[in-house]
Amino acid sequence: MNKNIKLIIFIVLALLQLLVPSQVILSRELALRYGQEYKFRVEPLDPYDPFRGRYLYINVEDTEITVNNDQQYHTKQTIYVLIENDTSGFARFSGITLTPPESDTYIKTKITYITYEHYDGDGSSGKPTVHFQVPFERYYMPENDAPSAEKIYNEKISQDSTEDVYVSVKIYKGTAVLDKLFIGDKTIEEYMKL
Amino acid sequence: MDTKKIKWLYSQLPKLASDGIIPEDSIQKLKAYYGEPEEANWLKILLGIFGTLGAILIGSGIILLFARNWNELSIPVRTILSLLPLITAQILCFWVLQKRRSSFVWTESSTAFLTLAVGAGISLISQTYNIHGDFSAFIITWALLILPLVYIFDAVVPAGFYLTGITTWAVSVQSDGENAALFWLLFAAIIPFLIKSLKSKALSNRSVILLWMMSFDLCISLGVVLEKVLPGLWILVYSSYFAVLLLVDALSGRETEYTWQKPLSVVGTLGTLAMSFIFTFTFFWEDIGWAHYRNSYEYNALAGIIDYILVLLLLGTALFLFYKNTRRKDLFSTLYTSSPLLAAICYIMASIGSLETLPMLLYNIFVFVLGVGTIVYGIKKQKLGPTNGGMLIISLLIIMRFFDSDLGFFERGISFILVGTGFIVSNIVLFRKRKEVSVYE
Repeated sequence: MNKNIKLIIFIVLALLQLLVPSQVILSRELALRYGQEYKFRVEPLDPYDPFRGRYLYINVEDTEITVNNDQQYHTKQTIYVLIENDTSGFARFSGITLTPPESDTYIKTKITYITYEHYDGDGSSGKPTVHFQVPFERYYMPENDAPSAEKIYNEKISQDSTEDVYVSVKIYKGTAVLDKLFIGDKTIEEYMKL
Repeated sequence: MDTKKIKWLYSQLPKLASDGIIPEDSIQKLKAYYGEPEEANWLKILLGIFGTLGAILIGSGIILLFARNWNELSIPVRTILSLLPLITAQILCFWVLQKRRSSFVWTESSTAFLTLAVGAGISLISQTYNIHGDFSAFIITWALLILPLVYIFDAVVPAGFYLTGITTWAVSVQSDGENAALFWLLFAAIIPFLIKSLKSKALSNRSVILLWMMSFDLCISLGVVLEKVLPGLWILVYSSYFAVLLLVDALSGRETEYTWQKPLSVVGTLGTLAMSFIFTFTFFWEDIGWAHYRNSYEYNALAGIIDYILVLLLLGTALFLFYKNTRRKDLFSTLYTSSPLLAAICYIMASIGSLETLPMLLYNIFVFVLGVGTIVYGIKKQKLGPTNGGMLIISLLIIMRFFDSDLGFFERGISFILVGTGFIVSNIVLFRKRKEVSVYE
């Protein structure tokens, strides 16, 4: 290959390499700035991922929806999950569609598996329940803080605390960004400084 | 003639000249005939290895530092920091491309650093924004973003990363229950580079490492990517694959100083042996072929078509090269690479007539013949390695049947004694022959 052509290809490649993370940054920044805030109840765990330091595993409640049999669903299918607030001010998943909804309050995700109301010998019947992934499963923390954060959470659970444990998520046109982890009215970082 | 022998000859020349055994002008003629022994530049190679390792270590160190998750820093600062290794590596590579592109030390180590930096950039950004990981998507993005480096810099490190990356991707996708047929397209993208490495008459150490990686990666991905709609196709795929490896090396006519410099032959031979041993069990010939076609919903019939194409391509190539190779009249390679032919015949037998015992029997005979062939080859070439290797093959076959079949104690006892005697006799014969040769020399 000609040296100049190689240089040009390399520059294009370098730009592409920068573009991929930049695109991620842009979409998340938009969500953080213009997205609507929702609160989801969670239970954290603490696995270890050598590539990304430490994080809390965010296990959002009720990530499944029972649907009517009018549509064919299958695993790995891309779906749009609608979100609405309940009376206590927490968000819940209210329905799914296969095409992007008109409202802005939805997340784009994939079906993990499907269960059915009844199971008999030669097949399943009844209404299918669609289980889906939630695109905010990880809350990253400094290495030293993650274990104690988990401990605080577990204590809160065992004491039958009245304080809610939840995450605030900003949602903008299908993109969801996990913003903060709360225990009661304090973020986990503030709580740990106490 | 290999470098070692020429060097030895040259070391002897001064003494031979001073003792008057060879006249001075003959020595000059000898030197002109053989030329300077090609001295591998060890300093350069060491620099290359340590340079690349150093780049990988520094790169990983930087990634770990950034991965610490500096909560004290604001998101914009962390974002810039996440992209810093990537930009640094890009500037370094740009400089290398302009000023040091002919130095493999520079190209390998700088592209190694950039390869890591690309992966680090993506995962660090994911961390900053608490993005959950889709591992398959991450690994495929990474692999594709470094692929052009292979061609721009003629570099082996990113090529190795790419091969491993797409194999990991295939494993991850298939284990998620999706189909990884796209793997073959991704693999096709690296083929021109692989062919270039293969074509060079004398393989450089870098090409040898690359071919090792390719041979192993394909061992994994061939099986993983198969949709397995038609049960047992893997028998044909793997038999043909190992035969093709062996044949490509055999037909290239390349001579190397050490065995490890022939990755295709090594993987091809060992793979053929392993497969043949496996096929001596009835179990693998049960429930295969059209009668057991899988049409439940988790199997994708369309992806199954890629299986058929793969089988036809590999088997076709294997048989074509086999035919070409028979003209060389090389017993060893002809024997080993006849395995796809046998596999195809056995597969048809097993799938049409549900005859499981016949393929099993044929493969027992085949492994035995392989063993004998290897011994004969070893004795002819006067090499102890293949001779004892052939013995080992036969012994292993017998041990397997010892635990497996319904042969009586008498038959087993006799065959053990026969093989044991064969072991000792052939070793003695070989030793004597070698001694004779060295006396004549």
